[in-house]
Amino acid sequence: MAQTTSTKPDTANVPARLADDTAQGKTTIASSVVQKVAGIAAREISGVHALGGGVSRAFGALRERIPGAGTSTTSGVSVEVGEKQAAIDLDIVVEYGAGIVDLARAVRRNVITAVERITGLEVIEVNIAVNDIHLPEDDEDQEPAQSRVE
Amino acid sequence: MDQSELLEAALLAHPSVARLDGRFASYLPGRRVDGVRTDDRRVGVAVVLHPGRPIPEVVDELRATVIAVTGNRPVDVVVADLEDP
Repeated sequence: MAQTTSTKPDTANVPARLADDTAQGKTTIASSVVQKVAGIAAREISGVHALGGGVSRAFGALRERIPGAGTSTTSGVSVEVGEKQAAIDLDIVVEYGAGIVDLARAVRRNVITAVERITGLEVIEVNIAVNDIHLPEDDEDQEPAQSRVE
Repeated sequence: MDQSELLEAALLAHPSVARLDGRFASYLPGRRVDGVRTDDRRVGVAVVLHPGRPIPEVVDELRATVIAVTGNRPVDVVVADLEDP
């Protein structure tokens, strides 16, 4: 081609071929990586109070009391990761007052954008289960949950 | 210095690499080098990355780093986890 534009491939838009099992070698991205990216992206949306619900949230609370274990970033996020695609299930607790339909749409969009940008995997679906709604008075007898993102 | 130790040093020098992952290792007299394995045909590395940059870009850089040490052999890269932000 006679064009003088940069010949560097535009890796930002084209999802990289993972598990590119050619002469160069194979790339494997562990599912915990996808879980973390999806969890961070979901929490970024304001109106999301927490991830998890029911059993997994209770388990997360239990884990937090074990010294040194830290918060489980992946509670409420389960993923299925193939060679080029990922499917993500999220359990979320929303703040009272948030429009759940719009909120879910925003969460889905942010999760897809983040996971595709960071991992290069194509996200084929993001299923969102809203498990609970968080009311302001729930915070009265306990310390307000420290949210990392506003 | 064993090649696996050279690889370990080269990988840890990359700003996106938090540490190497112990899912496989090279066993040397007196120590083991986590996250690196080599044979005549292939090289395997397993890394834990700092979050932020697109993983495929980082992996390409790591592969180039490895090839600079080991010569032109296929390099299998496992991104085992992300460091908590």
